[in-house]
Amino acid sequence: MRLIEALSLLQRADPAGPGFRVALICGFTPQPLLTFLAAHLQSRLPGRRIEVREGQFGDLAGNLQRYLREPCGSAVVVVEWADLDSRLGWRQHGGWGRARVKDICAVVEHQFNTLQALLAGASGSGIVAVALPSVPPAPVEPVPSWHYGELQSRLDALAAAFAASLSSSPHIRLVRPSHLAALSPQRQRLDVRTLNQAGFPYQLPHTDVLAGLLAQLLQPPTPLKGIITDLDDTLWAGILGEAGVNGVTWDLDHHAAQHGIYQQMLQSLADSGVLVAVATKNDSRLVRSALERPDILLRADSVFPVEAHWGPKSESVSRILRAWNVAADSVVFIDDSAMELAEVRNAHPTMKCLPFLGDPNQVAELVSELADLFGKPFDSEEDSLRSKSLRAGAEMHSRIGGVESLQQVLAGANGVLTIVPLSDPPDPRALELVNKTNQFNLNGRRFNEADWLQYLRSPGHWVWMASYTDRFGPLGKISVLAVCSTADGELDLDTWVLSCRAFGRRIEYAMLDALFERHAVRRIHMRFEATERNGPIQELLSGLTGAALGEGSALDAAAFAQRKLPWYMRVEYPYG
Amino acid sequence: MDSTHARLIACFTAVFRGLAPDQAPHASVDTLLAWDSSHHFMLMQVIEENFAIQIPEEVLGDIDSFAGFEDYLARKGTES
Repeated sequence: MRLIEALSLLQRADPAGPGFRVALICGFTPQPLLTFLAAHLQSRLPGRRIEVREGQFGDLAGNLQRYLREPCGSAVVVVEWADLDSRLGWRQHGGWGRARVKDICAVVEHQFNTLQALLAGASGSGIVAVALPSVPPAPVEPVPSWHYGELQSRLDALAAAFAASLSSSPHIRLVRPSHLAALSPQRQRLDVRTLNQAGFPYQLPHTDVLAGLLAQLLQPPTPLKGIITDLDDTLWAGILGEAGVNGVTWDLDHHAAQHGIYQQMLQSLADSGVLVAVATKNDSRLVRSALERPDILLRADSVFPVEAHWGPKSESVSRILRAWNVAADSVVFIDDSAMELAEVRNAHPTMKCLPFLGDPNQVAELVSELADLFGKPFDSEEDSLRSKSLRAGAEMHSRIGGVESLQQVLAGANGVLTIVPLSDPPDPRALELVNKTNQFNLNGRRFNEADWLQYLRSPGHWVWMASYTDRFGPLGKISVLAVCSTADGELDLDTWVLSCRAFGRRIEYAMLDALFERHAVRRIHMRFEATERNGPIQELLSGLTGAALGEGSALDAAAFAQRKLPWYMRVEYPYG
Repeated sequence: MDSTHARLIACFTAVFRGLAPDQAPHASVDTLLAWDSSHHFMLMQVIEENFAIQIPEEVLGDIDSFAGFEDYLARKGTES
């Protein structure tokens, strides 16, 4: 993006849109970085009005302290060497030389410790994106540019220790230096001329790249949900039907290590909650045996479902999507056959279809791309439950209509719904659920961390989170509802989501009943908005209200009592 | 209208929010309240980026109007 484009983009923004506030915390003149940051955020949040607050020149730590005293939303912290010790800056004439190295390093270490302590206290605010120094320090130590001298190596070690100390904080996101280097070469970053003129240290292309990465950390793309993989010459080398169960390979000895890399990546993603399924044209018994080989790196219990037959893969993919209850645009299909990829793409045009190319370098690129598409900063407890609960759900639904009715299955499930009020700071799972759920979602409203905290802390507002377990296994935390008390006996239901994994258990009725009963509510006003995908909640609520949903729709206690379906779970409120 | 003139108008209207394109050629430090040191720096950055030039600091300090920038660009021969 060019600077004039960034400015124009911001001028076109809706001035009446809901605000998205960010503090830009740095020690240099912020303007061009501020403009690019606002523009990148604007392009990620088109309906919002981006407000970036700046601090005082030359006072990085003070600006951070002021932000922490009065958090105004999310924050971006951009550290440069001159902020840590002015002798490392290019505007100072305090003298250079080896004699100063030890003292400079001591000062820098102290400053990093100060910033670290301040950032550790930022957990009650929004997400904080941090960029480590990205322009070279002044050449205080006279060594040739190809020699990694004492000063630079010690400074880098201090920066790395600072980053490591922050990397486990759930509210802090760090710009990865190697990624920045790939996009913005080191020698094309510093601008001493603008630094002297106006106190701004960056060339514009570097400013654009850095701002883009910081915006991406604050507003990352929603991770995709599932991978459907082929087997032959994809998950492993060889054709199962020809080579046999022990003839397919994924190791160095058979020149097939790239398939082992791919398996490891799928297992790693499965462990962090990504759904993994197989669609293969193969004999199902052979497939089962091969997936249970003890040396396979993708465990069989991490894969669900397995579609192994000779029918079209697009049909396998359709069945997998139904079993997962996720949309095609949340899923990646991977196959070595261009024809199969085309067939699936034709049937599921919104699905990302990626070729598995056998070349090891291309496989390395593929696994990096998968990390970008599915990766997230932290795993939650629910991530490890997702695949298991889908399996359990499939088992439960397989009983319905067979030997047992839905009522019999639910009555015998020994379900327990546990409802807890969200505390402050809130469990991050609640916001994740709100922002990821599409189908059972009252209005599709998304929050960033700062907005979510603001909602939670507003007078009269409260949030419930519910988890569920039954004899088929735990589903984890599966529902969130956010409410504002209005008139006596009336509530505004602002947000309500229920994970698609929890459909079919009548949890939604139990939650509405809890709202009516626990708070002696007569009427719930629903902030409903139709979205492309929230058909399931529309169906529920229009059935309960007896009318088509629209602005101002409300549900009375009497109507709910008359139209609700029975549920069979026990509802617990461990916090009263 | 030559392209330097039009491109310079685009630079001014991008930097000064609310400045109409027909007002831009008359813009100067005296006529635009918003024209402070911060806007001056942003204007310089946008013009340098757009015309692929670097304006020397000693020249930049003397330019305080649209006409001044237009004159400078004409002298630099940035029409192409």
